[in-house]
Amino acid sequence: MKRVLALVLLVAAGVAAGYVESVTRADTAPRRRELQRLHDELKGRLAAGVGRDPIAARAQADTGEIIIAVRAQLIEDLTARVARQYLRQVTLDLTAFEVHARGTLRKDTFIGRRKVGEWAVAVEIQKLVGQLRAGAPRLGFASNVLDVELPLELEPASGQIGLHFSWDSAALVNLVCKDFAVELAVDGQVLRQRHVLRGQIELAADDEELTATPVVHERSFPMKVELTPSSWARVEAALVSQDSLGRCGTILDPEKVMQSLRELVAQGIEVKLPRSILGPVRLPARLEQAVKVGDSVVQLTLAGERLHSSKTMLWSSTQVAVAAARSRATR
Amino acid sequence: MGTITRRRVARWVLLASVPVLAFLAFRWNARTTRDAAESLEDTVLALRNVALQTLVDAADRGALVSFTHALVVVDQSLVQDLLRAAMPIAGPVGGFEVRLESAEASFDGGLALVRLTGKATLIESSLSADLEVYGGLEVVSMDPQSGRLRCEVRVFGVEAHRSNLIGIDEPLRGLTEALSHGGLAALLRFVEIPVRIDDHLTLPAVDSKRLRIPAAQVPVRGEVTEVKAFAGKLWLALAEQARP
Repeated sequence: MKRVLALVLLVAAGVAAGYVESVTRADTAPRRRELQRLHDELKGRLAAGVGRDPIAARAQADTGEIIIAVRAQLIEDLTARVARQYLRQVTLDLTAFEVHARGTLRKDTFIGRRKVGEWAVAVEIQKLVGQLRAGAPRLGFASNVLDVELPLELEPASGQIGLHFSWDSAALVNLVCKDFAVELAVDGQVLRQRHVLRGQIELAADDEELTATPVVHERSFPMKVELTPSSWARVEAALVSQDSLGRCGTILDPEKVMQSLRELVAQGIEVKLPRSILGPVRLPARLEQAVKVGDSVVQLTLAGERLHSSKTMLWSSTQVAVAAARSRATR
Repeated sequence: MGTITRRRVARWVLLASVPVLAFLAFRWNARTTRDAAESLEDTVLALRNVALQTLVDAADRGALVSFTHALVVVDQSLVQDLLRAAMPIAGPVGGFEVRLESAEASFDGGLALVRLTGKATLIESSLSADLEVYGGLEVVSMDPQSGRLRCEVRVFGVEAHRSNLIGIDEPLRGLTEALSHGGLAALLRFVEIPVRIDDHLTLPAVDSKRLRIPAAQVPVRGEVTEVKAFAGKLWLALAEQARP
């Protein structure tokens, strides 16, 4: 029994000596110590560097598991490319746009200055389809929206314009000047013109994606139209045909009416665009709710996505929880 | 010298040799495991220091976080959870059945360090050892089909514990080689980061009473230009290459 005990003690002593030797040797490994010292020093310097870098510091303070930061310059470039490629051939149907004007004509009579009648004119585009082309947009970054100024160039186009002129004589002159109406379909054209569309791109983030929705605020612009010289001649001829005794020649001044018509046409026709031209457009960077890891598909739950845009950057932060459920992926 | 004396001397020599043999056996065993461990830890520490030095230099230049167009920042806890969710990952590697059961990710020391733990069982027998695989997560590519960011784990080294069973040491050294040279890649293949970069911007057609705009796809080409790991996060810089 004593011999066994002595043997065990001897073995234990040997093992203990080996352990002490190995620990002592490990503790004195100079290379390890030097590597660790350098590591600690560099980590300290890096931590200071992170504190000095505004983006690194912001990301470190952010609680999101995934952060996507996009430079404003990229959004500007993409918007310009969209304007150039997508909005290079926009068809604008101007059919049924119309503009109205009316006036009262007064003349000096033997009983003083009296109203002799009222005229009304309507200019209606019966059929005219134009082409719009967008120029380079100007963007201004605000909180989660981009203010956009988009130059538009409307190309010349020809079409049919309807002119409806009516004269309603006052009772005083009704005996010598009958009511009449002139309706003409004439050739007109849209002139080459530039306008600036003002609106915003509303940025939003849902569980998966970042979206941009363009919204037009200043929806109206005056579209310049013109009648062809021959059309003006037809209009004038129609008015002049009334300029005879027994009709309204003595009262109605066709030249004045023509002048009013020209002014009306020169004002242009107010074109109003829909508030929302496009629905939300998905931005090319987004989050996924399932990813492959090895042969497995891991489901994710995305929550609490926060979006903030500044003058220089769009910042999105999302909490991601990894779900337990998974299935095997196919290779 | 009498017979009794010789016997006594032999007994004392025998007794003295017991602790010496025990010492040598412990040291030999400790050497095989500890030297490998020391070497691996040193290797990883040295790699981290090189990466840290690069980061510190960048920080001194004011270029710690430098990106042209977009930045994706992924927390180490997400990568760790993704890896753990896919566990266990098992398969044959270098004559062993390897089963990886857990993962830890640490992105604070200059490397996107991943530590995978599990068990390796010699296929020919039932001998097994606990396994630790140290690797670095590397963003390899953007999958052209899905647009997702893909990472692979590059093996820095493998550490085996409880490997002092007779007959398993030698094959374990082969397993380290096998895991480093394609074995882990065959098991884990890749880890996807749940960020997708589409290669185009889809714009729908507009066909309203007043406006008609044909649908269009504006090409977008995102590329990962730089990857860094620090502050517990993976920092991916992306640039958009405009197409003509």
